[in-house]
Amino acid sequence: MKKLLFTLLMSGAFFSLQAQKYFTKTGNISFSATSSIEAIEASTRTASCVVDAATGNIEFAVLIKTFQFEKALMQEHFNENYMESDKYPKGSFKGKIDNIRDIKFNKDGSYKAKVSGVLEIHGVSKPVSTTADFTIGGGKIKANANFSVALADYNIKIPGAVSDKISKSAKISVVADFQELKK
Amino acid sequence: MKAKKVLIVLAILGIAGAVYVAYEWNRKNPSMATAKEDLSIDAKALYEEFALNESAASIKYIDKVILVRGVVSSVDKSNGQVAIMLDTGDPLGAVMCQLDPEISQNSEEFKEGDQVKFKGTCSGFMTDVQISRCAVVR
Repeated sequence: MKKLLFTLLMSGAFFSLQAQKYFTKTGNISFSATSSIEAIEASTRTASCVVDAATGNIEFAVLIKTFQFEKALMQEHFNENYMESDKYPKGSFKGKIDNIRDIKFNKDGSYKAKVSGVLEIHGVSKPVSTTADFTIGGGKIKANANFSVALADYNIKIPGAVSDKISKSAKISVVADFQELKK
Repeated sequence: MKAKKVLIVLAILGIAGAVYVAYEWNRKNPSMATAKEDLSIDAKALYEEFALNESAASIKYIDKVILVRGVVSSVDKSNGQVAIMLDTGDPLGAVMCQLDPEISQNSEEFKEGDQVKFKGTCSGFMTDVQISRCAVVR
């Protein structure tokens, strides 16, 4: 009996130690590639992300067609000419929070996360690294990160006629409000 | 005399061209509150088509204006946006209808179990079928 109880308690302890995961389906990703006259920016509010608090694994995925521009023409060019979103419908990031132990998901505070991994856009995968700010308070987990990518790295070609209007790199900003992933 | 006529025609063409360029340049995405739907379908059927054959469903639905009917399974209001999840019968996937922030819509009215209709553009499939810029349909 005692042995059974012990086993049960141990298995309980084991489960509570199991990987706690946090996720969102409504992450906000915005980018800006403005260089001169015209603002070239867009955002999506339906990026998915999962963070594993035990291993530090972090994954983002987004449908390119969910990026909304103010101007319809710009959005069409973005999808058809630059991102070829029929051919490459998703953008993704797969990586790791290198200092996951420093982030106390159950303790209120602000934490700097070192994130590194592989970003895939337009069918091209490249390593990227950045820092992300995690803010934990009142049971809410919020993360934001900013980084830049060179468009040429992802084989995104800018025609000569508009090359002075579009920046050679895009500033990307990510904001995510996580929820606990319940099994 | 003939040269003058040619000039007038060229001037008219030039103005028409400029008007067209200005119109195209300033064109906004159509509001789903007034757009006419290309297709209408139940959330469950739409999800099943994507789950079974994503590439065929992509050709059929992506970039189309879809009127989708379903039952609210949850409402996600994080991050200053509202996404309404419609039940598909599959606990792992939903039809996610992201409300257009440009249209004033009262998100408070949507509750789990409500029967709803939304019109929006289909953006693709990634565990959920995503419908962008949704307007509620009465």
